[in-house]
Amino acid sequence: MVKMSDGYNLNLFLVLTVQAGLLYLFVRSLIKPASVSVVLTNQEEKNLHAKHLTVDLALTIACAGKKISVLQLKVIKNYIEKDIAPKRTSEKIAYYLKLLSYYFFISPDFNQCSLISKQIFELLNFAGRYDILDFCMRLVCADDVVTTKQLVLLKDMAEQLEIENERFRLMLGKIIPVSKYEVNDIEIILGITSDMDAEETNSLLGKEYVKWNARVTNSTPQIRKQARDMLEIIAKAKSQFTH
Amino acid sequence: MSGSKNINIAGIDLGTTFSAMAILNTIGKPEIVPNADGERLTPSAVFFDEDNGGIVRIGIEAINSRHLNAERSVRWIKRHIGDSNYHKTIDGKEWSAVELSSLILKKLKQDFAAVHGDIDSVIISVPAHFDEIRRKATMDAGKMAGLNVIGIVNEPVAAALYYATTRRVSGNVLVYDLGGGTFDVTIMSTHGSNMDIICSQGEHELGGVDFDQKVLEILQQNYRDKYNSELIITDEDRANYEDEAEDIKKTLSRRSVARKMLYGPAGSIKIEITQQMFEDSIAELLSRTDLLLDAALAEANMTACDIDRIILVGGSTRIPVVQKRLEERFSFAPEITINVDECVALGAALHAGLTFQREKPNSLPAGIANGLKDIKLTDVCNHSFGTICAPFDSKIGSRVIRNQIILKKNTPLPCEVSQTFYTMNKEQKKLEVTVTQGEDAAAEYVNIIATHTIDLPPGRSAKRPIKVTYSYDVNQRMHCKFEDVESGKVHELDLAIDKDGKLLETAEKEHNNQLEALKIE
Repeated sequence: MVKMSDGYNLNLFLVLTVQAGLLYLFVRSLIKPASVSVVLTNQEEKNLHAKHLTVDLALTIACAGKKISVLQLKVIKNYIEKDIAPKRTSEKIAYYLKLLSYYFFISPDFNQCSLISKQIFELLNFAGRYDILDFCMRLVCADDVVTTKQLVLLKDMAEQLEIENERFRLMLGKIIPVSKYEVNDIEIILGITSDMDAEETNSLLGKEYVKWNARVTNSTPQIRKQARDMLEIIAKAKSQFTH
Repeated sequence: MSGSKNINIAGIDLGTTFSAMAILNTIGKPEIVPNADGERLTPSAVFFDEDNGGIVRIGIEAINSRHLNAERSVRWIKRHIGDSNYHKTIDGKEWSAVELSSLILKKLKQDFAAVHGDIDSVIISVPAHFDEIRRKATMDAGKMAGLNVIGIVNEPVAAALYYATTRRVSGNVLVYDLGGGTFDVTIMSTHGSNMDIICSQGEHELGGVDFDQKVLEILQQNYRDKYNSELIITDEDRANYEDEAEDIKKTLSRRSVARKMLYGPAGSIKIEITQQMFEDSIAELLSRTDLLLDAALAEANMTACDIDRIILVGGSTRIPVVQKRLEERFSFAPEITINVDECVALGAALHAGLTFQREKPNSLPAGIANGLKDIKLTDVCNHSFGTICAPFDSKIGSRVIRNQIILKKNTPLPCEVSQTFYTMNKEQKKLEVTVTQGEDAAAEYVNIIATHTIDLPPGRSAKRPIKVTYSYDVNQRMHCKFEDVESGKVHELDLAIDKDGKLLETAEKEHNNQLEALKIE
């Protein structure tokens, strides 16, 4: 028999997990987000509905390219407790089961991200949408590594939420340390796209360079570190595009 | 020795790897003052003697001692100046970067005094991109060393000043200053001895020590490849191979290949590093120099075609690929007629003379005054200065914290700029005013250099005007005025880097006592 490190045996663990899964499938039907076709007129209802959608979005993004971590589960749990169901115990329990299911066996459908983001766009004003993107960025940042898949999903989410690219990259630069990136994707980090010509690329690199170079002597150590890392990425990109 | 009636006006280039000192002679021409060993450059290195705690060695002796006891030595202090978190602990005492820099300055002062007597007034050079905190820290170090620091000059400005006074120059000049630890580009317009600085851009951590580090990485990799073992085990090994790497870099500036024996713990190895290998290893660092050059040209609203001359400053400009890239970019070769290691100290001495003349015109000896009479320099503000405010962001639908720039970078000095802001709330009793330094609109990305709370008169509605005025004089002293327009109440902040308070005086006194007890060799 295989022993688990914490002393429980594997069979018992599997039984409990399957039971939790079945329970989840049951509760999922209870907390399933309303489809976009549902017409909500009250702004308070819209806000709450957007928050439910945010949990789905957050869980999906957290699972992109890696397993969701305990820290990320905690971030989502706090969000649920604070923003969705501070008092409603049954709803909270249903959500906890959902979190566990994602931790143990759910592989989310990443294509749903765009759809959910579109639904959120219909429900919230700019400030609300900005907050949700901010929350999702902080969520992926709670883990040690931010995967490329997560960055792609965040970028797509920003597009669907109609948060302009410059603001998106400003948020990214503030919230996620470059050192956490699995791979330095210059398209996402610097906004360089394949359709840009050499002059456009150089101009963009120049602007990014000036911006981050001015932050190298910032009084906050984390900002200084981010600035140094960004300068390295910009210099690499410059070598790559000029040679 | 200078005549007893003469005034000793000096300039100091406090560099990352080397420091130099110059004096204005009796006819107002700057001359390098050699150190006690007769060398024109003094390594910016400190070593605390292990046998006698009261002795501090500065310069070449400190470099050599570092190979035997790296723990008690410090180099590249300039990279840490202004960083309050940096400390080097020796025998239980924590030495800040300012204190360590003051030891180097004290040694320079001591060597100067042995030949010329005491220094009356001195200017210390700093990289153009240094912020107020670092400028003030440099000045503090000078004061702690017992120097009468009358100002600070930007290194490229000092170099250009020296250059322009030694030959006739007209047109747009680009000063390319790639030193031991920092990199600056300054663009200026010159007409004979009239110099107008247009802009400066700089990198805080890009210079010779970074190139050395790349060579060191090649050495380590070669050793690893052969023995599957690390070349560097102890701090002393590191100190030794850092110097070897510097030596290889210098050799590669003269020859196409450098050969060295490495004696690591697993055995010895003879290695060969070619110029091409070195250039490949520093490619990304050179990309950063290109980016900075682009940024300076853009800031000056110029292209490469608008530049008439390039002056090279700093030891790292001796690297052939650095010169080659500049020649390719500008289609003419940079000037190599001035000594890249000495021109900053020489220019700093000239700047000290100009400052002294401005502040005490009647005390300046006629010979010096005559030597300086044709020089006219217009400098610019090196950074943007602003204040924190909370404008309404219509897109987000709420107030956001922003840095509003008031005095823009590269504004010619002296200058004065005002902007009006408004109180936020009805019955607002207090107003917190801040002075920021930095180019960003995002408040977290700028440094707050002063903050103060102003009491406002009671019983007023919201949106009352507050006029904020920043001025900056030719001695790089800043003055800020916050005026409650309706009541006429004014709050003034003087951010003069040499006049800001008792804290410095206390620290200075305390440190001077400690320095007196130390023997600097």
